[in-house]
Amino acid sequence: MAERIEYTPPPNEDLDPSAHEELERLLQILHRQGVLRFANDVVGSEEDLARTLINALNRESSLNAIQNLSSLFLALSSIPPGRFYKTVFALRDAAAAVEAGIRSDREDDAAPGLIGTYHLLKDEALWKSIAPLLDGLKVFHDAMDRDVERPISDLKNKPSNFQ
Amino acid sequence: MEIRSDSDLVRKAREEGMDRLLSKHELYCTVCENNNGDCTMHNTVADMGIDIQRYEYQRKPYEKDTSSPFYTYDPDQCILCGRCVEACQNVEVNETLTIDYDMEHPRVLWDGGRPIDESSCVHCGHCVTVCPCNALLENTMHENTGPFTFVPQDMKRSMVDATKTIEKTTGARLITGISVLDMHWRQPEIKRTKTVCTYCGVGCSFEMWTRDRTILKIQPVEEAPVNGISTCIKGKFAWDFVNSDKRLKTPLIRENGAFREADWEEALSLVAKRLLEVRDTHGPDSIGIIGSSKASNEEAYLAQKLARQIIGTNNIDNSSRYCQSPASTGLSRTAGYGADAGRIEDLQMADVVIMVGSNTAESHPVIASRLKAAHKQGHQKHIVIDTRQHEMAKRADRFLRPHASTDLAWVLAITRYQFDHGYADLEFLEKRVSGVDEYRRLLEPYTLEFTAEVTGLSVEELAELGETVGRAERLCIVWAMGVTQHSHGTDTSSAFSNLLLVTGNYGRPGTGSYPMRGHNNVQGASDFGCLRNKYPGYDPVTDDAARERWAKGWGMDKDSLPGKAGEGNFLMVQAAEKEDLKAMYVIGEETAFSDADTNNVHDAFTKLDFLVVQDMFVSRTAQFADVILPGCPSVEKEGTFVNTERRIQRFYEVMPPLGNSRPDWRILTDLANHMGYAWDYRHPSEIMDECASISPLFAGVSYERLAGWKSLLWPVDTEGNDTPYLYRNEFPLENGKAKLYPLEWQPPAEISDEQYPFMLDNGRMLEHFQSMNQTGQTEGTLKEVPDWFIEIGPDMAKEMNLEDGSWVRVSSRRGSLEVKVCVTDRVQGYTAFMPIHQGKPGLNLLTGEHHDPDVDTPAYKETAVKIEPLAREKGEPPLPHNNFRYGSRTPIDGVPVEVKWMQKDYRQPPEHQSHPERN
Repeated sequence: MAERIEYTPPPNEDLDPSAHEELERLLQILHRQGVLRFANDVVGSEEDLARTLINALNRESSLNAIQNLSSLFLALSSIPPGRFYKTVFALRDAAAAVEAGIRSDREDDAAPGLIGTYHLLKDEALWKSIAPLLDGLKVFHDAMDRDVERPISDLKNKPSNFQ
Repeated sequence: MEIRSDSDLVRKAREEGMDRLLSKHELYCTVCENNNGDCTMHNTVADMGIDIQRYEYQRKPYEKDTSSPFYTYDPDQCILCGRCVEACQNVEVNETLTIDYDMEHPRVLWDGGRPIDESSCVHCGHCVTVCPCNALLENTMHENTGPFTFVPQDMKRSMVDATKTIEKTTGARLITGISVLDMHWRQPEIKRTKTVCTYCGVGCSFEMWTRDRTILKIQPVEEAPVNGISTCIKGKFAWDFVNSDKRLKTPLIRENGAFREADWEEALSLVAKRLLEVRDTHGPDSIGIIGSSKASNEEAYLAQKLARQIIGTNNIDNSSRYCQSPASTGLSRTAGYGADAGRIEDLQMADVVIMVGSNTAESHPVIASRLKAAHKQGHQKHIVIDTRQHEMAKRADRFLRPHASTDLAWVLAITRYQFDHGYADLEFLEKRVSGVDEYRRLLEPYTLEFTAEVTGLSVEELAELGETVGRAERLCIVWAMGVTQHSHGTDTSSAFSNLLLVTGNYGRPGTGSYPMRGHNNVQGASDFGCLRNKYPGYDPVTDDAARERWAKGWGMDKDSLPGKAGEGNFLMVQAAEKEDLKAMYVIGEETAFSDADTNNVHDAFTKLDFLVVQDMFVSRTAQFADVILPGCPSVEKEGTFVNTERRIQRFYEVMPPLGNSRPDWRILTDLANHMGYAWDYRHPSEIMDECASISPLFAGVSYERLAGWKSLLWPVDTEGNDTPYLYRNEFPLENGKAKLYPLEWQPPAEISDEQYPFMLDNGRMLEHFQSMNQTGQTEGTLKEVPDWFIEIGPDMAKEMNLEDGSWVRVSSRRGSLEVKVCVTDRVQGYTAFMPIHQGKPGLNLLTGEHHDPDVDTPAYKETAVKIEPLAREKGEPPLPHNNFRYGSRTPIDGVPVEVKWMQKDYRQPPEHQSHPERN
């Protein structure tokens, strides 16, 4: 005679992977991708690699570079992105104008010929050098003289009210 | 015609279109749950290389709708594409979702503006599946999919704001690049596995997305041969049972009035020893095995092989005995095969579909969707004949409500009508059918007048039905347990088949007989031999040639295989009650709950010398067991199922078995080994190969031919050619002809009287399955239908002074129970209805052992009851006020996009738009 028996199974153990299982999986992937081998190589090289890196770091040029980069980051952090975009792209465009001027044929350009700078201005070669810079300055001025709220919109010439 | 997608105009229009979408959808893909490789929005932004959107993203003045326990709608992410509306209106055809483009801030609306969980939404998940972004998302996905999606919402907001600021300078491509990386690094964690649903016989297949054992979501795919993108509430959302604490994780052995845990070796040794002892002491027929209609074909095959080869008995059956055996027998004795004549696709092609005793919208929801779609498109007429006005009845062109248990009478009358009015297909009958003259003679008593008296239908209604049947070019008949669970269900099933033969509605697309199979593999369990009288492939056990073939296939002598039919599960239980049956092995069946007349079933189980139950849970049947073996759900093993249309589909292992549970095919193999038989199956494919090598019906079935989304409809020849619809050229009966099986109407075995005036209809609800061992472990489905109840009509409620929530005692001639009342116009008069799922004793405390004599299926639907009000304070309505059945659907033809186009300020792309967030 088999009477009914009520029975409640014990609750499931945690069904999510344990930390150990996750770690094991990570190790497997790192191993498969060769990352562990590289890491072993790096760590295994011990002092040799560390000494090489420190020597490279301790050179005047490296220290200069670090300090200069730090200055650049400090400056960058204080400039609103719109203004920085304008400045950088104005410089880019000005440089392009300067380059175009340099590469253009200025044989027919006449010097202004002011008194006091007569001799200087009579120097055709010098004028040919200065004129592109002036062109660049004009372009730089024009580029700076406008509002840019969304640099990417300005860059792609696509109006946007994206917030 | 030449179509170009790369002209300047098209490119600009495309960009303008995308800019408008981005004014409605905020991109925060790296912290979004939907950035898993299939987000259409994200992928399109990435593919188009968009640098910056033209229009500002604008929030809508709505909160997220989190009312549904299953999914969330976020209006702020909705692009108003209308896919969800189209899916709801024309694929699922539940007609809940709309978009009103005339609103100041358009959004998707449920029942015109109700919260999701207070609408007619049936939580089928179509809208979520087709959503191209994260506007509609499964709740199981929340915070679960990517390495950054778990970040708290306020932190997410800060991250998004910071990114948006940087994006002004960098452009979106850089940010999109990061989200593309994020999409890629999510992939190794998210596993997508094809599986087949186990909640009904439709056979929906889909991908199950998991991360380890966490089920992220069910993702239907277009390639799925049966359902495409369709699912129902259970298939889409009710999978919590897989990781339930209530799952059995190790074998249990009864000892000193309690269960104790045991290892597999001890449990299997004990089972093997006891079964062999009983066999050797009392003979092979003193043992009965019930195979599972939820387990795989391969497991059904092994269960019957265990019975026949090792035990030496044909006492093997499955739960088809409780539901579909009458349909199978009715069809096999008229047309040849006990199965659907065609495909679900054929049902869609019919111009008339008659549904009898089938609550298709709740029991086979995805098939119902296909039928509703054909009906809505206007090329299909629906006739529903039922004692209960369910959804399909409400939608039907004609709903007829005959007296209970009188279906056979009207089918015979309608068949006679075809002969009398020149609608019988005499050429078809002459060439392809036998027994015509005899059947015609038997039909003589069934005049419309006589039938009207028996059924309660009017002569006019019957004549109209006769005309509809006669004029149909392609007629399908759908039926289910409302027909089969009667004392003459086999005869009624035969009568349907006869009617189809008389009208020539077999062997052509869009025609035929369609009994709706209830469990996911009730067809397959029978196909693969869990039947008392048939080997796999329907070879009779009494046929010498078949017996010889199977004996040879199993490497044994023909005379070692039993040559007489065994007992079905219903009679096995009765034999146990009489102590003729000494031991039983029940695999994945809840016999103690689902067999009729519960008290007798429980008595029978207590009288067994030895009971083994193999299940995922300590079911009510398992409570009587001496040994419980923990099996696995489908998602923890491989195998195949056969759906209602004879389609064999393969499912794959989504995750490993929980704890020490094992796949059922492995348990059966191990048990055979313990019983001294060297079964050496290492994979279910080897079991299928063995069956295919012996059974002509499955000759060409192999796992290779079923790989991925491929499927086969049996019979399958050795070349792998399958059979989409049966009987194209001949019927597999004598001379290739079908047979009109002689029939006559008989009254039901149990009827109402003065003492028991109500007939108690009973059946499934959309939200639940069987005894709720599975659906009862999903919080959402429980919330939708928390209580048991009895439905009575407003007329009787008024007469008996009952309201929603009143308590009553329901008593039959066998027992009584107490439940709340649900007053509904789904029933009327002396018809009541109870769901089959709930209750500690369950509905079968009321049902009786009267049954169909042809197949021994209990007549569950022939249960007369009395209903007595209880002097107990009225409780909450048993169906919560927000249940979908109380919703108000909002049917429309499709997404009303023309409303948007007609607006004064609408500009066609590539022109720019003044209010892109609105259209």
